[in-house]
Amino acid sequence: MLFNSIQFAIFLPIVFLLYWYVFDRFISKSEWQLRLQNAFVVVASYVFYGWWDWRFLLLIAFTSFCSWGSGLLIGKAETKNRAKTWTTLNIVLNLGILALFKYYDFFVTEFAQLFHISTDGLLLKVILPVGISFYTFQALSYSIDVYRGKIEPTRDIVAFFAFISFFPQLVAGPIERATNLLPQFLKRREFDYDTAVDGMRQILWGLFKKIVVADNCAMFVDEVFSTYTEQSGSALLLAAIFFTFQIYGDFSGYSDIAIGTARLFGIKLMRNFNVPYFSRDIAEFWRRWHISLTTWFRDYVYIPLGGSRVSKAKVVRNTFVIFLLSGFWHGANWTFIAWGAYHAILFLPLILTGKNRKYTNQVAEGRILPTIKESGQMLLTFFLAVIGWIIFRAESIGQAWEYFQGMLQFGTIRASYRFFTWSEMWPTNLFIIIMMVVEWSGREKEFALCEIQKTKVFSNRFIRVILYAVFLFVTFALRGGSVEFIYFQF
Amino acid sequence: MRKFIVKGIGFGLLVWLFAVILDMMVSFGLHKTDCYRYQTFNDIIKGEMKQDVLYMGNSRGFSHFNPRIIDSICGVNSYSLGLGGYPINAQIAAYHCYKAHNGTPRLIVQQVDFITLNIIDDIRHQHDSERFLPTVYDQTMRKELKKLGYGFMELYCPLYRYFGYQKVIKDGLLEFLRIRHYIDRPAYKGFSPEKGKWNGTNVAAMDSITGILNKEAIALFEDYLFECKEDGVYVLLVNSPVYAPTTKKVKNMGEVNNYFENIAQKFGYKYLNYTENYDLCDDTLNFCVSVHLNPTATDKFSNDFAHDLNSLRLLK
Repeated sequence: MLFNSIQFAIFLPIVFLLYWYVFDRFISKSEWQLRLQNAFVVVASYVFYGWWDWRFLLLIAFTSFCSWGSGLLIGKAETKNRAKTWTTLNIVLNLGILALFKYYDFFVTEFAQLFHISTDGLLLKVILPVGISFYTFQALSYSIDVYRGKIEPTRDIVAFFAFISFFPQLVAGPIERATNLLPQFLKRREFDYDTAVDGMRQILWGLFKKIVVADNCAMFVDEVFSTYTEQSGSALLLAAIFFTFQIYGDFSGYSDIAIGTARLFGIKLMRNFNVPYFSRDIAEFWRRWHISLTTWFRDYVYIPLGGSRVSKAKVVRNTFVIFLLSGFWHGANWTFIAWGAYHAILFLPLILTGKNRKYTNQVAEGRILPTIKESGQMLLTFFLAVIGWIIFRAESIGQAWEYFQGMLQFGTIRASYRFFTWSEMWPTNLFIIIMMVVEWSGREKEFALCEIQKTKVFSNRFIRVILYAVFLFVTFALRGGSVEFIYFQF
Repeated sequence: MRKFIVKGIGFGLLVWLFAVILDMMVSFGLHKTDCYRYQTFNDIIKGEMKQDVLYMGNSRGFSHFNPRIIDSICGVNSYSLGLGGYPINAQIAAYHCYKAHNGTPRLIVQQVDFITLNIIDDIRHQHDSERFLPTVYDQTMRKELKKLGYGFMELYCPLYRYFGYQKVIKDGLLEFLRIRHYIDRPAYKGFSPEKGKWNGTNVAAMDSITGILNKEAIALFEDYLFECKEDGVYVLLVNSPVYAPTTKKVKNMGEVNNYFENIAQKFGYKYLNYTENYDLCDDTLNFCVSVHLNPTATDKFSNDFAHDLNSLRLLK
């Protein structure tokens, strides 16, 4: 089920009412209240996921059961070694499933090409279960944290299943840590009006970013990338910039909807994006982009490898490891690996010179506008990100290379292929500007429209209601062509 | 929590009201435009057409029969219900809407060709699909559009069907607010000839094609002919001119022509085939593209057709 579908618009209020009225109020005195409410979360989440393909529910249930069981076994282990064995087994199992569905065909094809052998009968050709990379990493975080003693293993299987499958973040994150999300399923949730209203605002803002900005950008981007050999250099550059906004609108929009939806159920999810395009260097960009994945790799891969407190050679190795893994996590394609390597190369000078944590605050804190220097830094970082997204968006390294070559032919029309006219493009440009201005003005808050009622202009309730209604109509009336979320494929 | 739900419902009602008003504004605005897309269904819904002759068909149905010429020669009142890019199931749906609001005509000129007998289950994303949007609220339209892929939300939820049609919303609102009059290929009684000079590209694109004889479409087409027979409406099957080399590229053109010939005979109708032995078909000067005559040739064809119609004495 997609967040931007009519099915979800019907599903959400029904689940909300049942969750709070039936499973919280009517049976509130029963000791089973919490367990039943969690069970309902699991059922609702499985319906949400099964809407796409019910067969893969078994896979989620299997992953959940194994990770829950391994948590108990790790907790019961009498020696550290035994605990380590159970943890390793769970990691191997989870990564094995992920590798089978996501990477097996890729490796077979690559090896076959390398050794000139046929792939006949060797490929699985299975479809990739939606969200498998997200919930696998979430399950892994649990067993590793239990092993590290950061969290007690839970005996409550229902709460654990709810933690893995919680529908707002099941298919595209944020990738939650057991230490944050699981305890929330182990205690009774309280409904908070202000939190719920803020959740609704965040959903609205997420829908705008996805439906209006990302989907409108997608129409241009898809057209140009599919005909890149015929496009002019300026058209290619423009499409790359549009893709930069598209992927942000798409993914951060999804995260906003997920976080906002979770708020309605009294659950607080971690922040996944923190205005990454207002970063002053690439290190800051990576602290603000897909935070749940970046911090996952930092906590479970980078730091165990020694992080930055090792020799320079090992710092280089560690940096490459996490960026390459991060790229490979996105999919079985050399483009993602190249994208990871590109960012590692950009990141290395900063970490080697100890400047990777130079900008930990928000840009232009307490000011309306950035300084000229800050603007230049943001523009440069943005441009570097654009280059990276071309590699990311391309279907192959060869295509990315040709795209770059084409882009360097500024001002030349390489073929008679029609590009879009200004009258077709100005609405998309306007939507991008609106998104960036609103994000800029709300950059010091949890999300752009957070606590909007406290601002002078929108302190009047009537004005706010009109704003929401207009926003809602603009969002749906001006929607673009695409429907799927980009990150579903990962 | 009650406060949240009450406010949520209140906001929902406000949004609903807003949607109804906006829907009415956009739809009324589109009713006022001078655009071939909306004209046909606007006229149908008004229920004031009461035509003697209807031209049915796809884009060739609405661009090859000039009512000005045919009306003056035959002394009739005719209108083109042709739907560019739509196969027979959509054409029949349009006829049913017409019939529900305006009664039956005396004669239907059903334009047929090698792509007529096809079915599109979902017309929502077809060429010019916005043509149906302003009149969806009509009961007959709803009934017919339901068969053509429209869902509950599009048929009953105000404004929902306009979502994604940015330009349509803009044009409708500007027209409603009298800020701009929207003109796009205005049509005369549903007729609008194709303009532009010949470029041979789509002859090449049509290299060795196969005429469509979809079984479901055939069943639907024959039901429609039967319905017309029952209603006492004569259906004249007409294959209007196609650039001759293109016709030759259709592998099973003989089979297609035979079908129309036989089915016309079965129901006691006639089939006029202008794609063979008709001088207009031989010269690219008469065409914009291989299946569309240019305006001058359209008028000439309409003139010839009108005389043929008279000689058949179907309207006496």
